[in-house]
Amino acid sequence: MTLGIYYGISLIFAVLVFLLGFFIGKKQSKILNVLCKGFSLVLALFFAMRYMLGDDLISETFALADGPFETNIQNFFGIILVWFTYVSNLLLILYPFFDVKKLKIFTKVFAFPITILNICFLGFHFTAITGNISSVIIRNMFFAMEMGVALGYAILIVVKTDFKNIFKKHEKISQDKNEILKKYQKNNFWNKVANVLSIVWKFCKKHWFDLFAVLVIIFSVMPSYTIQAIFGHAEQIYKAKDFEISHRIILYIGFILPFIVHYTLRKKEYSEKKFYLMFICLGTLITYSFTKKLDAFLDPTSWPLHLCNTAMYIMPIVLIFNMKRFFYFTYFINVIGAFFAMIMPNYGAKENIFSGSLVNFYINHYIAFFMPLLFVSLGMFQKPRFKQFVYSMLGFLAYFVLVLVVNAVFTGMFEAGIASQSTDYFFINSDFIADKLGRWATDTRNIKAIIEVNGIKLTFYPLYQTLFFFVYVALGFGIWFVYEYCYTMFANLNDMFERNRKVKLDELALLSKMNGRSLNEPMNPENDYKLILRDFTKRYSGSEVLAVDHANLEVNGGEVFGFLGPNGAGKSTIIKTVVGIQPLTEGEVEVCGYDINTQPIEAKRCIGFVPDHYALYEKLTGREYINYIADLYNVSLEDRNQRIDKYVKRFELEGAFDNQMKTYSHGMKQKIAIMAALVHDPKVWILDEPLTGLDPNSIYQVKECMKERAKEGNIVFFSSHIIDVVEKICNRIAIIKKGHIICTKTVKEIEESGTSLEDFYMDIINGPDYIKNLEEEQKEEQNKEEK
Amino acid sequence: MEKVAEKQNFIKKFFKTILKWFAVIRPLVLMQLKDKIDFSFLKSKKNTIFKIVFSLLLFVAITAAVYLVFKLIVGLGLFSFVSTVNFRMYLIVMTLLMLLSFISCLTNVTKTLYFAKDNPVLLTFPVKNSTTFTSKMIVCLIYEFIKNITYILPFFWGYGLVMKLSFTFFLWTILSLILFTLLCVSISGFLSIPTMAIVIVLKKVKWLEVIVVAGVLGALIYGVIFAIGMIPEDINLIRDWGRIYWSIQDFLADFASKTFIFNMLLQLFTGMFYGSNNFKPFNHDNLFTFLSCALIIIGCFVLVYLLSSKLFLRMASNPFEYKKKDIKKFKKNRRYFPFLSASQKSALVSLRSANVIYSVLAVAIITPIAIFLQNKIIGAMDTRILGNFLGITFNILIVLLMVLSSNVIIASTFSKEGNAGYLNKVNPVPYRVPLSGKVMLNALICVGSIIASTVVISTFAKFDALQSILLGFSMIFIYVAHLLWSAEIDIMNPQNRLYQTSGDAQKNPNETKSTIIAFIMSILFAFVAFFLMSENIKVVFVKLFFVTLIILVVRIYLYLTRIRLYYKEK
Repeated sequence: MTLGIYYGISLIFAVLVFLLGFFIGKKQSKILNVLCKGFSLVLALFFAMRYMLGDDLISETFALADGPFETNIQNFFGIILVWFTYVSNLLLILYPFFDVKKLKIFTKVFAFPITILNICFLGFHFTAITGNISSVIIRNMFFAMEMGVALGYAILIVVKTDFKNIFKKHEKISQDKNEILKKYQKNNFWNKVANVLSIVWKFCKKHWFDLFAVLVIIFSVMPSYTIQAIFGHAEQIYKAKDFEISHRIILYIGFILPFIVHYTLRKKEYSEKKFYLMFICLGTLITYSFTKKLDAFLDPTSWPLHLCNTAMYIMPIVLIFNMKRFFYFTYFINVIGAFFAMIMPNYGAKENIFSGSLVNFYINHYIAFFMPLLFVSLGMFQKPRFKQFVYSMLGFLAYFVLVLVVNAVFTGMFEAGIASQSTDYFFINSDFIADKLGRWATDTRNIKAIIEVNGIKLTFYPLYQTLFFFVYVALGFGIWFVYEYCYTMFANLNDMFERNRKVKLDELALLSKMNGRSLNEPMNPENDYKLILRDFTKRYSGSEVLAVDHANLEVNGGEVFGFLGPNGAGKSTIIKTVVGIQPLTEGEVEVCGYDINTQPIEAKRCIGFVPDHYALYEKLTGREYINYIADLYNVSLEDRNQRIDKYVKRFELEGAFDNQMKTYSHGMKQKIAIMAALVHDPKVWILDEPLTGLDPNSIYQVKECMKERAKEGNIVFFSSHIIDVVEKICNRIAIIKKGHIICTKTVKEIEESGTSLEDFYMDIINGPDYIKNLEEEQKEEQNKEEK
Repeated sequence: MEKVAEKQNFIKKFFKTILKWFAVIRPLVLMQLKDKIDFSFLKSKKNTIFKIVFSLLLFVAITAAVYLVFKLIVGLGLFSFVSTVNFRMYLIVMTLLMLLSFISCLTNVTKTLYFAKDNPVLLTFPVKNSTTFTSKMIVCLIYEFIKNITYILPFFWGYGLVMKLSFTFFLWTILSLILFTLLCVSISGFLSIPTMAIVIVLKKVKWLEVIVVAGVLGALIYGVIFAIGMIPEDINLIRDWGRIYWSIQDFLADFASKTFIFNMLLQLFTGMFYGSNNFKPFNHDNLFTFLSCALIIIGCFVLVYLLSSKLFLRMASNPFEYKKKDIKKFKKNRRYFPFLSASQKSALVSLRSANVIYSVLAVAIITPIAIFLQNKIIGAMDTRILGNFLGITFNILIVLLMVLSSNVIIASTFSKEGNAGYLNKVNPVPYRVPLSGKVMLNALICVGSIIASTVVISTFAKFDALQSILLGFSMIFIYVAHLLWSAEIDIMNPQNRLYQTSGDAQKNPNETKSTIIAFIMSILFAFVAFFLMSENIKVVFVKLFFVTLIILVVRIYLYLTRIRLYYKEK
């Protein structure tokens, strides 16, 4: 009979909600949305009332056999149903406030069957939460109303779903599935199983992040007594003694969990992230409230004024109302407090790790420990500045003063026999922390100040409490740097993984380009003796100007190619990029058929490079250095003997070659740099201002060397400011100005046009008729002087 | 009237000259100071506040540490029956500190005056050479004063706090520090001349350098072995405390009488106090010491100005090119694999850079000896099981602190290479080949040292073969992980510019980072080892082995990936 009344209430509410939503919300989706928000709030109200008015009977289960039902299976079902009801309620409550499609689908899939189950097992549920179905009691009434609203609301959101659209979107998927189904219908049983598994595997592989996020959601609302109720109390085995294995495992979980949550959510949209974080905060608040029901709020000694308890309420509030200043208070203060609480827990040493109170303790401290950090790492709040630190410390001061007064008042009242219990919020009243810190702390705590108000003695510990405050502020300040370091470290790691992935993709692209050939082979074998620049573009980091802008150039074997241009035009930039010292921003560089970007090692093997500023290991001898370079280029002993002898004689280094290079003159060092570039007989010899500091004889030898190498079919590519030399030895030149290659001509062409290379260069760089104008100006000046 | 006017004119002229001189020397001093000390924090308010807060925190932390140590010594009554710090014991601490400070000052002054790379550049500035020289001395003074405030002042203040001395003492010690800095720099300036001569001779005559180093090392080893031999087989502190106490007192008295100069100096620096509130900076004896100090400072500075300034000029204008010697016998060319060749090249460069190789060798040799000494002392004591665990933990801590600290050199080795290292990018081998080759010599030397230390630890702790191998490998893994980390820090953030002007950077941030990481890693490893040991001694080394192996694998992966990406992109 009584159950009938409850069913009646539930169904009335369900029908009311559904009809209201269906008919009023039919015309306009905006109105439906407002209605849904209203239903959410009503559901939240009924749920809160039912939950906060008393403890669930099932929460007193210490093992399946001790539950409120007769059989273990019933008890297990009861525990899971109560748990999933919390999940379903919370999903429905948050449903209209977040526009996240996947989550909306999940809410429908999850909440609808759970609410149906709850209605079907209404009596069963009453046994689980109140143990009373025979009489009308207020909690059961609220539960019946809650279930009614939940059912009507769940049906409404399912009915209002635009299934056509969803089906259209998923048409292709179902077609694929049908094909697979047809395929496995022909096969035997094991193939069918394999096919089904493969579909499941593909789905999981594609959506594993979402599946994981769903698990995070479900477990964040798990009532703290669940483990103890399902697995038993295991009293003798798993004691949570400080720093023993069980405690350590709990600590490890506390450090690993935030990484899992961060990794799971990091790539989701802002609103999706916010939903998950909000869900976790509210879900764990429900779990935490298991010990803080309405009666706790009426008792001052049970107020949630311990730092980590406060955090449970602050966390969802700052998310809902986006309260930045309030958030940074938890960021600087709660995290460190929770950390200390986790490593120095204040529960008894005999506490079992499965017990509800211990699970509750750790859920509470995990949240206070890592949620503020997750809020920042997932972008809900910005990293704090000094101003925010100051605000948070002011907030901390207010909190500190509040608990100081509350502690003093209620302890005084307790001592006067007015209150039943004293308070020790934030542990600043008792000797709990002082004892752990040692005698010096106990000594400081011994300094007391007692104020008597209306016969109540208010005791303060000025030195100890002031020290306590400032140490905490210092810790908050210190922890800032730890956070910063951690964020930077993780950002760097993420960045590294991303860049690495890009490099691997480039390698894969190269593999496909090579079309089955070995990666050591040239990409374009027909360009065996060529140096090609295609749309070469270089921008230095932090600069807005392009150092080289889409330069194109092709140098052939047998050419001595001169590269001219004023200082800062981009000559060295191009050379340094071609030899592999710096990367390209855009475009391609091909050296003897190898791409410098994707086949750098093979390309570099073809290059000999003489830098503009010799850079040698001065403590090595010339021979040691050349041999080192020869080793890197894998030159055989015979070849190196022959080449080293040749160049040592040519550059007249016989007397000094086995001396340390710090004893060499500038010219000698330059000669060694030239030898190092030639010891492996490169196809492409690149020289950046090579003649600086050389004596006339050596200049002659270098020039001869260049001609010789070109004669042998190799490329000689060099930049210089000495136009005469370029004119004498080069076949072809290019002129670069402000990052643009503005002219490429053979020296013969220039000669045939009737000008010298110098005049041609001046015209190109300074504009046409520059020299004529200059001469005219000089003449004018002369005339003036004569006058 | 004329006389007064003349006098006024003279004073005006004098001040004008001083101001002019100050205007000239100020930029010189600031320029050199900026090169020595990182002032980049001044660019932003936030950084300035952080820097100030950090410096203050560092000072407070050192002072607190000193205070606690003195308090502990007083509490234990090791050196005195009354509850004050024994002045003779304090004298030993401060003598060692002053000597260390002086040696560091001498090294710094010698390097700054004669071997700094910026000397020839400074000479080209349109100022008198004597002004340049004076600016160098002022830079040394400022730098030393800052250093002394950070490291010596906490020892004065810690002492003052334990002795509960009056406020005047704390002010007086700051003045004392100025006097001490002046004394150090003036004497160092004077002694820098013979020091420089010795350095030059040793640099020129290689065999002499080797003999000197071998001699010093030999003497050190002999001294340590001699000290080890003096340790009795059975130490029972509680039973023999009376005898030990009076032996300590005799030693203190002997030390005080032999170091009477330091005794006088310390009395001058700390002043005279009769009870906690009755403090007098001077008495007759102190006045005599003060006047002597003043005389020495003035005398030394005059001598330094007369002698060193000329020498400074000569050294600064020395040609850069070394004397060449013709070699008639040619060596043969050899061929190696690229990695071996890179390692050999780096080894040759290191072996020819005496300061680098000597410091690594010193660490490698001293570590097992220190462990042996420590174990000999602990072994002679009757310890409980917790004591044994603590002993092993300290062994591990000392080994790691020493070998990991030797990696600090690696955190600057790539920066010091400058453009030569930059050209690695041109070579057709993976970047890891030449870069990793650079750390091979250090790694080999220190791994040898770790193996030797492990043998010593295992012998004293009576570990079985498996335990010893696991412990050895764990420490090697941690060492290599830190080595690669230090290398990575330097490769990724090269500080070439720091070595371009003076050739030597006093504060390379990479070295600081590497030092901090070495310290944290050593402490953590020792802590975890102790923690696990008290839980189960049988499995501790297996756990440590796997944990350190994971750390090493992660570090190798990060090292290889990061340098690959860095060289590809930069």
